[in-house]
Amino acid sequence: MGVAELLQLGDDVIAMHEALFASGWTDGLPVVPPTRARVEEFVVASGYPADYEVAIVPPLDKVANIEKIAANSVMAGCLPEYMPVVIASLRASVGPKLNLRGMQCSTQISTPLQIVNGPIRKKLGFNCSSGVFGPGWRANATVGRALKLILVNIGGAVPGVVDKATFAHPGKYTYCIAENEEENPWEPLHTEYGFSREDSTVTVYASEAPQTILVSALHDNPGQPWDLLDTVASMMRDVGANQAYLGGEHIVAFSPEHAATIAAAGWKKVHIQKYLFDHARIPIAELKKAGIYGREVDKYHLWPKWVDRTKDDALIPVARDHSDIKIIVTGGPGVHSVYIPGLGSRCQIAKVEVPAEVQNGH
Amino acid sequence: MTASIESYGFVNPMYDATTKQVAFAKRIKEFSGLRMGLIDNRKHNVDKLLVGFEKSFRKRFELADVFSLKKFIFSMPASETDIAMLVERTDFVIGAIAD
Repeated sequence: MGVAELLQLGDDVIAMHEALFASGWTDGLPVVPPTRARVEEFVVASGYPADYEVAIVPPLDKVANIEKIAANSVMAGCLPEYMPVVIASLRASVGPKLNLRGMQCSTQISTPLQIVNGPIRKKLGFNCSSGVFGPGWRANATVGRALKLILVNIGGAVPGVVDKATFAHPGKYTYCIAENEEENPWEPLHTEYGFSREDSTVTVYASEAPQTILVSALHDNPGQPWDLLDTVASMMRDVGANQAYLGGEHIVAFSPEHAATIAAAGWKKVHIQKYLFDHARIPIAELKKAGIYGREVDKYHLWPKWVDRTKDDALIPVARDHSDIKIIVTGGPGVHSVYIPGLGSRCQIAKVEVPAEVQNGH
Repeated sequence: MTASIESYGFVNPMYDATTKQVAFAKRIKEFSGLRMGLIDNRKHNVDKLLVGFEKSFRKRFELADVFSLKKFIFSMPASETDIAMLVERTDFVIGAIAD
């Protein structure tokens, strides 16, 4: 069916959408029909041939080729020029350290969060300021949704059938942000992985929902970040979180205002990471009360070896190394930041390749 | 009545389903004399469930041996090394999930 035929549908457009809902292809929301002509536009925009295999998607381990990625991207409401970002998102998502397979089948709440860096943000209109986790920007909304449709339609993580998340969270519809590099007083996230500022990338993190950190009063130590960071550390000390026993990477997203406060005191990212690593620790006595293993402390095999498990006041760090606490800057004006707990796995990153780069063999 | 999705000629966004013949493992009729393997996936109560299985089997059969293995973590498959060990040291394996 082509565009001209779609336009002839009239009232039958409702029947078409009902057929799309009944097909099982959607996420419960209306989708843009994946017509052959529109999908072909997206294939061309990728720079790859339609049958090029991008990834094997767990848990069914099915092939996501360019045509299938394009069809899901059309349905998500993407523009053709978003295809390179969707492809990079998928490449990062199947990286081994993320543990997508575990995420896709688990009762746990996590879902991939996409963090876009580099010039592609401005070029395609990704929001990195006010409302960055919310609605209103097509690039954020649809690139995030395209990945989620791929994970279900190609990976097979059908909610309630294979995806057994007890609750899930709204990020399973779409969960894509961009870093506010312009207001970031430190280096952007992707440069920590060896990319240059001029490279565009997508970093994917196995992510719960963001938790707000409101700090507007720093009475005792004005101009110093300790009290702000103590509040962040208090959010990270979560007995009920996977990371209390698994470790893995964490993301702390500072608003530009909080970032400026910390940077004005002369603190760099590494100082923040080390402070949080030292202070985001949970006493064994708390973990023994509940969590995943409760009193059976011998089962916590991923705690650091140097922890004395015989002591109830021994402190378990929620990260295994300070570098596991990733610091980004995003969002708009306001004295809120967010802590984003994770599954207990690690971020994966992939470069966004525009068609010219693809065709030049980069 | 909803029209069929096929009638619209859309590009199917789902994976290409394939079928293949898979031979099931032979069903064991007699467990006596065999070596049992137990995979603990590290969920909280799996060990208790597997202890129960072992007791129940030992009560009914003369097992030659029981070999237990703990996966690294519940959310990832058993490693190739672990699987090779199970193949070498057991005749059948029981795995369990138990929050």
